[in-house]
Amino acid sequence: MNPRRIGAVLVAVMALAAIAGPLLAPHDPHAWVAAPFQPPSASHWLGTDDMGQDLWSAWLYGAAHSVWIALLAASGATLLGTLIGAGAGYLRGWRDFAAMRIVDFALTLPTLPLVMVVAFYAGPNLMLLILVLIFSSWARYAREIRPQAAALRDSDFVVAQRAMGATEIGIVFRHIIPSLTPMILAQFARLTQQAVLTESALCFLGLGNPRWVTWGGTLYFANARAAFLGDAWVWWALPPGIGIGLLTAGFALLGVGQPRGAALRAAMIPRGPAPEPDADHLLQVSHLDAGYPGAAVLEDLNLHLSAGEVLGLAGPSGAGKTTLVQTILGLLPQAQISRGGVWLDGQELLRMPERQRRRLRGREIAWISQAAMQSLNPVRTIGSQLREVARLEERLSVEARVSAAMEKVGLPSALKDAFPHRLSGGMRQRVVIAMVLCRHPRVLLADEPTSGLDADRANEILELLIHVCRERRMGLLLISHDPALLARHSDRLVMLEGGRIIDHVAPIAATVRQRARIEPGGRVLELSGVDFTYSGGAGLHDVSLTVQAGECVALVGPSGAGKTTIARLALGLLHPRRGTVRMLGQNLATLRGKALRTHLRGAHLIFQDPFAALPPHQRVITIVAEPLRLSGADRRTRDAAALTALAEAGLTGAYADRMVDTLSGGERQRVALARALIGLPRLIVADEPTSMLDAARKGAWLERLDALRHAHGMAVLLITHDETQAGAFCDRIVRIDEGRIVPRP
Amino acid sequence: MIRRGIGYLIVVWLGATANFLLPRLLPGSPVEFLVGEESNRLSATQRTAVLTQFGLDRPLSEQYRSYLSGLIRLDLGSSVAYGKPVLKLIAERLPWTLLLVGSSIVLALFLGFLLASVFHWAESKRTSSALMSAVIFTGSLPPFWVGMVAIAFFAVTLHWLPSYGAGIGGSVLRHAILPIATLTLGYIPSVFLVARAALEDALGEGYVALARSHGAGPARVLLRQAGPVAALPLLNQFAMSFGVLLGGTVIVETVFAYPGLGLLLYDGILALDFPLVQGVFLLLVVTVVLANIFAELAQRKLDPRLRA
Repeated sequence: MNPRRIGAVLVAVMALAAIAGPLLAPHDPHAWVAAPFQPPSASHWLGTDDMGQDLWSAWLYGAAHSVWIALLAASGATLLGTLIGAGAGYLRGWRDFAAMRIVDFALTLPTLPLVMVVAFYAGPNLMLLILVLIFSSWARYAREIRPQAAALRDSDFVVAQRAMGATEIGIVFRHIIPSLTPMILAQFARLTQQAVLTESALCFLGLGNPRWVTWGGTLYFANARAAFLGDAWVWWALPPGIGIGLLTAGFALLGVGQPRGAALRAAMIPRGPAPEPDADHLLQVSHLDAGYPGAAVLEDLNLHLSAGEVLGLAGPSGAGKTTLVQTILGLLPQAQISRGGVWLDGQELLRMPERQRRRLRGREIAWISQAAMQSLNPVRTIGSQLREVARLEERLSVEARVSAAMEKVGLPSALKDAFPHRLSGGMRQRVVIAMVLCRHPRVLLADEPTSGLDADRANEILELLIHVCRERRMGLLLISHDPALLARHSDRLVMLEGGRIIDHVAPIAATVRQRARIEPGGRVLELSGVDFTYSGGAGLHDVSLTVQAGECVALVGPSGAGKTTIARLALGLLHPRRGTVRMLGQNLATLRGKALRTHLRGAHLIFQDPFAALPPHQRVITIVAEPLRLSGADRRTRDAAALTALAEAGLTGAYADRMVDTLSGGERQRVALARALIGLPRLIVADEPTSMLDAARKGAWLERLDALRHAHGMAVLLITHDETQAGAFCDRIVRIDEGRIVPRP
Repeated sequence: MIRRGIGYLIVVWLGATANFLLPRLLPGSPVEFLVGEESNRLSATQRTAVLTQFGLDRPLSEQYRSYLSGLIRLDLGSSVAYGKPVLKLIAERLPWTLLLVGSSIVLALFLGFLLASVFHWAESKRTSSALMSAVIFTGSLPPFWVGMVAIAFFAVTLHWLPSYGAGIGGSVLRHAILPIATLTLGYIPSVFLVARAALEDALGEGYVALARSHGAGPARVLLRQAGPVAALPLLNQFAMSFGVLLGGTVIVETVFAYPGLGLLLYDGILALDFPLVQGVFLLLVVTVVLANIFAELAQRKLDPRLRA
């Protein structure tokens, strides 16, 4: 019952009719073959019209006409729209402006009247008809594809290609177009649909050539020649309309995205009775087996939480912490729960009817999610959202409770009339906590409540949460992938690994290693007196920084200080307003075009987000070999070097042929490392390379980088906000804050 | 804001210029367009007289200037077929079209949004897939065909409703039912698709999950969380496709012989009534521009993120 499949079947059938139709038609549609107004019979499947012409033959010829015209028009419109729309989005500047003005103009022309007017002035001409169909439909599609192309231009993996010295044309053909292909295909289907309808409308209005046999034309004649006076309209007028409908529906269904539509459904109820709980805790999970079709996530999971206790739950990303929380709340319709029970103060939750469970949510058991940034409705004020939650509790007045909650979390009451986008991340997280405080739940499930916040804010928020929980004797389940954070704040610490709860956590020790001194062999990177400003005002002021050959320098600072800006300046992706950037001895501002691209190959930039930094549509070996491809190496050299680099990065040869979208974050970052090494650059700039990896993987990745750095004598500029990391792996630490280097005390 | 206003003015100007150039560039003598079918019977002297009368013997730039000045004075010329000033004809027909288009838009926005909400509320995947396929299929039926079949069924066979015209006084409503229903049926699927996608995006967002964790049921989530956010792209979509909506109006008015601007345009085209066609087409362009402006202002008013 998949809509796309139905669409494909319909289109295939119609295409068959279009190709085979004129051959299969029993009669010439223009010939007078029988008595007029004959109802359907064995020799004339759809009967005859008022001139005795066979309607079934007319239908088949009409099918062919509609399909061919629609495909031609849609192809032309897709080509034109892609060129102009994607081109404008990607190239920006005056080209974008001019193209969009043309699109605006084209969009304000009312389509059908325009087509009618042109047909009127020029007469019925097939070529012109197709051209007009193209010109009346390309604009909407161009406007829709433009932002996609614009977003791709700035995505990490495209920037990575530029940093490696790829040409723009190369990027467009190897990366942009393949990424846009799904959207292009969906739009092509929609354009075909539109073309069929417009073209048949035109023929119906009598603006087509009477000699053509078309569905629209048949309907025109049906209307004009008294089909409606009798019963004839049933076999004369219905089939062409149904034909148009099926063909159009086929393309429309093909162009439809996969509808999910599962968001509001209730979670499934597990089979069998609940196992008896062991003891009497406030919240108890026992023998829980849950997962998704094809992947079991939680296995025989047992957990308990008491009133007033802070339980820390650690585990690598993807272990199932969020699945656990959502299953407890009953908010995961896609999950399959095969066994187990969850008790809240004696009531079993998994088998409770949804309506009853809904009443418990917020009142007895509350939840704080990972991304507070997106947890607030952007079109409603803070006050209105808090009030909506407060209204659910009967005791005090709504306003009083909202004010009390805001005061408790330290938010000024003036913010009640503000919209979420005006607040910082930390403040939004406080609003979410205030919502919880408007009521009096007994259990709070806090899922990574501080991810995305910097260290100071994170601590503040956690301290607030814990204070509140102690005060109200709430049980707090605190989830994080950072065991150090949990160790500091929880009463008890458990770990979720392999789908089960383990009670102990392996100690994390920052290893301080003995580093062999590397003889300084000149400066690989030198920033002198660099000024840079973004249009928003932030930027760098008088920054000077040096990296010697073979050394590892850490650049440490809070988010927004300018660390990524320095990384981009170092690789020539940005140009300083004042001051110079010398990389490997050359002032980057003096290099252009091919010279710059060649020079860039001496350095490599590793990005923070392993999911955005690699092209999503390529194989691992292609990605890793890219720097060598850009410097002109042949296939065999590239492949051999790629396998070596992969091995050095800790990935076996089996990874070479895999598609990158099947890899986990940790694996991807190792692919990024292999890509960085393969060209044996003298400088690697790593921009927060481990901040998105789990604690377990961070250390391993950095150790590997360190070992390889020593082996190949490369210099590394490691950008990080983690002081411990910096101290453990680097020779020197440079601090930056608000765009300025902090001088050594 | 002013820049956008100038942009729109440029668009209208371009539309007017295209209107001016089109008949002069395409094959055929303007005389045929100006006088109609009888131009075949004119002698050479008469043809020259016609050309002089309409100023077609003057240089192109002069014609253009007088055309533009005429537009600014709202002088759209005189209809060849009806013999009345074009502006007057348009003023007569405009209210009927407004009734038709206005009612259909409101109904379609409401029903389309409702259906999209039902789609997301449905318990089983089969129900929601079936709903989507049904709506898409309905939207694939050509509106002129739907109109014809509606007439054949409701008017001719069942004699429940009148089959053409607009009626007077009390019977206006009875005459308007079928045209409005046909037009609405044609708009609903596109409203549904946009609303469905917008709701799906909104339903995946953090604030919906948060609201559900506070105990909100499907109704409250759709009405108070996802709904207001999804309304914004819907408004945008309405503006972008206004040109298409007007096309649908032309067809429906033609099928039902409903005396609005669409039928006027169609009759004008068939009668080769050049001033009338020009005038109505220009009006349609202006209407689309106005719809765009309205949507942009409304979006700015409704979306707090844009109210910087």
